[in-house]
Amino acid sequence: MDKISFGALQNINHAIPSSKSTPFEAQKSFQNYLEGALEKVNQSQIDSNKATQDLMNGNMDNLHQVMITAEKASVTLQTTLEIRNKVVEAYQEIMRMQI
Amino acid sequence: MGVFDALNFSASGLTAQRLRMDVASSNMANVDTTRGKFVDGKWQPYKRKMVVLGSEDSGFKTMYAKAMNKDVNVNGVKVNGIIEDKAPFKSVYQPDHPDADENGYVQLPNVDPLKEMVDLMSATRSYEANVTALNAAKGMYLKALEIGR
Repeated sequence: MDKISFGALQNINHAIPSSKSTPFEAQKSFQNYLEGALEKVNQSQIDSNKATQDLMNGNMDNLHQVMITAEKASVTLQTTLEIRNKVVEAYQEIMRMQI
Repeated sequence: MGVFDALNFSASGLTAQRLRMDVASSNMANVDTTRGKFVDGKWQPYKRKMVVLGSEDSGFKTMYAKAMNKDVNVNGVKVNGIIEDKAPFKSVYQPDHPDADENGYVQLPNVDPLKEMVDLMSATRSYEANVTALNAAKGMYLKALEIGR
């Protein structure tokens, strides 16, 4: 089973705009980073689906592998949700600011 | 160490224990098999099989750790092989058996049902222990997500 890593998180520095980058560039790099992270989460869901299908077709003889793949998918998805909650929370905090 | 290493180690343990269970079941099923293997025109009884487990050497990672003088040895388990028990066959006097020799003795497999029962229980308990370790690891990940909530 291939390992799922949060390698995308290590590239988060690209998402932080340097003093020279324009807002457009910053937006672009953040978009790339987010897309990469979501792609990984999606991949873990696809792996889980494939493992379940293999089990149903009788191609997979280890039930625990299926369960563990499903657990991995679940944990990565929950991490994504948690990060989304944090982002939305930060956004709302900014929007509540008095001007 | 990756995020899901604990899960992967537990998965290797589960696979290994399942194989032990399979092998013990095979031994138990073949407890009376007099025709296990055909050698030189004669039938040999089934030989008891045993699983040999070794530490999973994840190639590059381990070599890198060694090269960096880090003596880390956190690995999963892997099956080195299935070997046959060298113990002698049981000889039982049964002249009417089709596989009896000229003296009326039948060679029966060197399988001891008691040993197999113990192996089955040991494999089951180890499997459970691996599942518990896996759940503990998952619990830790989920707890980490609650930080700052």
